[in-house]
Amino acid sequence: MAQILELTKDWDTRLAAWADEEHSASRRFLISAAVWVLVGTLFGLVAATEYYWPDLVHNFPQLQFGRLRPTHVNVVAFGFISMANVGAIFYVIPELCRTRLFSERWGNVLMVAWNAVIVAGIACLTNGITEGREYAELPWFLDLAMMAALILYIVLVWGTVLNRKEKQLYVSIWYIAGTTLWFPVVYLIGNRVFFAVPGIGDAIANWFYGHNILGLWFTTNGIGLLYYFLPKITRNPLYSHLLSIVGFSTIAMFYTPTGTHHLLQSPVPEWLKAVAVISSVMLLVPVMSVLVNFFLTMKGKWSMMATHLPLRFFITALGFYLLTCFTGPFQATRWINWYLHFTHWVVGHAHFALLGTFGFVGWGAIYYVAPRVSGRQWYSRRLANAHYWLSLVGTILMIVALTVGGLIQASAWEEGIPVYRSVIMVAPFMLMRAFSGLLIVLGQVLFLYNVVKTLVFAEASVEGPLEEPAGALPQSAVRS
Amino acid sequence: MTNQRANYLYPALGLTLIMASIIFVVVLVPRWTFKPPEPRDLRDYTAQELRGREIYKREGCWYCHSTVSRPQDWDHGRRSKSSDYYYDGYHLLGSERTGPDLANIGGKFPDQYHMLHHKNPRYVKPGSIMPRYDYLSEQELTDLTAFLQSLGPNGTRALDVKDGKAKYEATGETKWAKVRDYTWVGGALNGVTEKVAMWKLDVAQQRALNETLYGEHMEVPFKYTAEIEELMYGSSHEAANAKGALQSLATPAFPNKEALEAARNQDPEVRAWVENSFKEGEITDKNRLLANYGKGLFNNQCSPCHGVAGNGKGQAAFTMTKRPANFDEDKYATFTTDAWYWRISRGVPGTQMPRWEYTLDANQRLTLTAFLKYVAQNKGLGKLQGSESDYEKAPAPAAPAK
Repeated sequence: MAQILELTKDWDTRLAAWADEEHSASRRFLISAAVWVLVGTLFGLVAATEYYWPDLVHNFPQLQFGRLRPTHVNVVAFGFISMANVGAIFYVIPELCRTRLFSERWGNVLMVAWNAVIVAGIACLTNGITEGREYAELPWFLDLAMMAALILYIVLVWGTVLNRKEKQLYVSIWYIAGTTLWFPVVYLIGNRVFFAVPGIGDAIANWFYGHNILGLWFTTNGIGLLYYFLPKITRNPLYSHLLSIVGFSTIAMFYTPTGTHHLLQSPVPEWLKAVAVISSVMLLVPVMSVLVNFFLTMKGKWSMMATHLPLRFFITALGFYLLTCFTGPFQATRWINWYLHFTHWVVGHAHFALLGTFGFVGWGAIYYVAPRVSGRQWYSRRLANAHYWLSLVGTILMIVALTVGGLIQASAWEEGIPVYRSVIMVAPFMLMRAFSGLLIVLGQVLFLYNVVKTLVFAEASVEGPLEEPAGALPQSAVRS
Repeated sequence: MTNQRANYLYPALGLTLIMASIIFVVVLVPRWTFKPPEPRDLRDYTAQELRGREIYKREGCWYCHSTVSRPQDWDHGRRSKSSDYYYDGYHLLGSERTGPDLANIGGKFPDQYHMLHHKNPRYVKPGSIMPRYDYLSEQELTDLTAFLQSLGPNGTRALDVKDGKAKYEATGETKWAKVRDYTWVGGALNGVTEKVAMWKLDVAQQRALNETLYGEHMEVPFKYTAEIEELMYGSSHEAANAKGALQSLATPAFPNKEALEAARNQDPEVRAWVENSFKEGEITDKNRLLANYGKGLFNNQCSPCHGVAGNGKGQAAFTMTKRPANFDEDKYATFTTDAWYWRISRGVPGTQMPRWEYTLDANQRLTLTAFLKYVAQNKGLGKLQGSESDYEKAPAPAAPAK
């Protein structure tokens, strides 16, 4: 009893110290992201395995496919990628503004609230409490909690930006602060918190949100972070500030109306489809400007990929981004969509964007930011390397399996072969996809182990830092 | 400091305004301008169907089943229209089809099929990867089945376009007295052994048909058929579990005699002409008009692939890996009316030949049948050759007696 009393002594000052420590919110966001990526991919792995062994789980509704899928999507999207982004943003924005985070204490409150929403979300979705709208499945009370969290996030970002000591606003701040302007509106519309849309209009609102959570949340945050990381790591100046501003304003303009390209053969207004298709193709403008800018910024420093692990994650993400964003606009045109819609190809495309691009940005950001917000080097370089390769091979295998499976489905339907036969035809690819999920989950186990050793138990680094300049390569390798 | 911030204020404001106007256009404008009319051919959901819809949402059925039938879809019924969703409180369109589309599932299978299928999909569809929903209570399964049976033009919610709404409001009757009135292969069967035997017969029958009449134009997924057979006979526990009233796979008999008979009886004149048209001499002034109609249908719908004279040399033929049928071949002269009607209605799986039952009504298909029988018998257009104006010279048929 005395011991317990001893523990509770000065709880308020100790709690304040816990919450006010500089960079603590950022660090805890990154740890949470590492936990959620393992949980989320595990949900995904079970769901993917059920595609091949439908009787894997029997009489346990919480692990039945229809409930696992939204859980997987919500945990990796809102748990892993969003929290990794926010954690990195809480480090990057103060750095760029030469100041501290507006309120470390409220940052920690946000971290706790966000984690609570994810835990409650898992509990609700696995038990069938769902709104039944893709990417907006969380029930209304969690929508409200998420809205409150987003408003707190906006206050923290803008408070930091307005308190800045640096007069110039770097382009990363444009992207990240710009996102806070529109994302609450998008989230409000998508989750229909205060209003309902009956009939097929609901689908229009759903896909406005469903596509913009990608375009106006993950993309703008992820690209904003890359605009900081790439010049910082390579020590090259950003190739063009003008291009970055062009990319920023066009991404805001062309991403917003694209949602209806998910409904091209559904009975919704034709003009809305036309607007969606045109703006989807026009997305090539921001994509090209972003990629050209990044690739030319990398000029002369590509070899750093070999020794600088966070940079390797970012460059891999850029490769996936290139492929995603060049297939996306063509997929959105009517005739290609006619063939590919409703197939596994689209699921593959979603993994391309979220896992391949923004998942890798998230991992890279964690690898880069964590030593800087904790003052400790990574516990194991070898584990981090293994994490990279397992994730990369898993992602590629998954995309190949889903893309080929989708093409088989599409051609089978085109030929008039009924769905229950095309299900059999794609079965080998579903097995391949489950295997790729296994690789990814293995990678996340190593990753979480590394994160816990480094950030929670503060163990000393055994193999040195992950980041070495290009000169660290053997001379022969650099010269040739 | 103030000046510096002012530099960012206007671009930020401008961008916010642009975003707001785009959101206004793509979210709010459709809400005001896009209001699908109240459907004349559909009634509202009942409380039970709504409970079923909740279960459909809760169990995540919509992650693998869409409820929108598209123009390019095979075997998913008529194309969905915006008023089909009039009574939906929230949408369940779905974004991916691991399983088939369910927009028109109502009336396609009996209730018992759905109940069994939900408990274990592999009872009735070997090779299916749908999860088992045997953790749902009997009441929940019944509600879900009621919801599924309510979907589409053959479902329990369907009304006659003409006066169905008034009739429904007056009497509570919908278009179909019974949606589960469905002819199963071989009629009622009890006991697993007979059921398996029936399946065997069905597969063998299907193969025989594939090898004789349509083999040349049809790609038969033999590998899969073998797999199905193995599932059916090899793992007997699967089959043994499928007790109950279920009789067969969900393929109607070949051809569905009742449906054919019903369609044929709609118009005795068409029927007579269908039966006699293969004799060239029996083209009369009266049925010449029907022949003309059949020829018009053929020109509109079939000639792009089969050619105007039915010789399989249409403009689009060269794009196809399976070449369109040439009706000059001898075997087509032996086709019965039933075979023609069936083939036109159901299309040819594995080729580009569509299922015309979704596009043409029964009389149109019968008229087309008659025309095709004539073409096959005469190895060409025969007396039907020539322009439309030739037929205009023929005396007009007498007006039917009032």
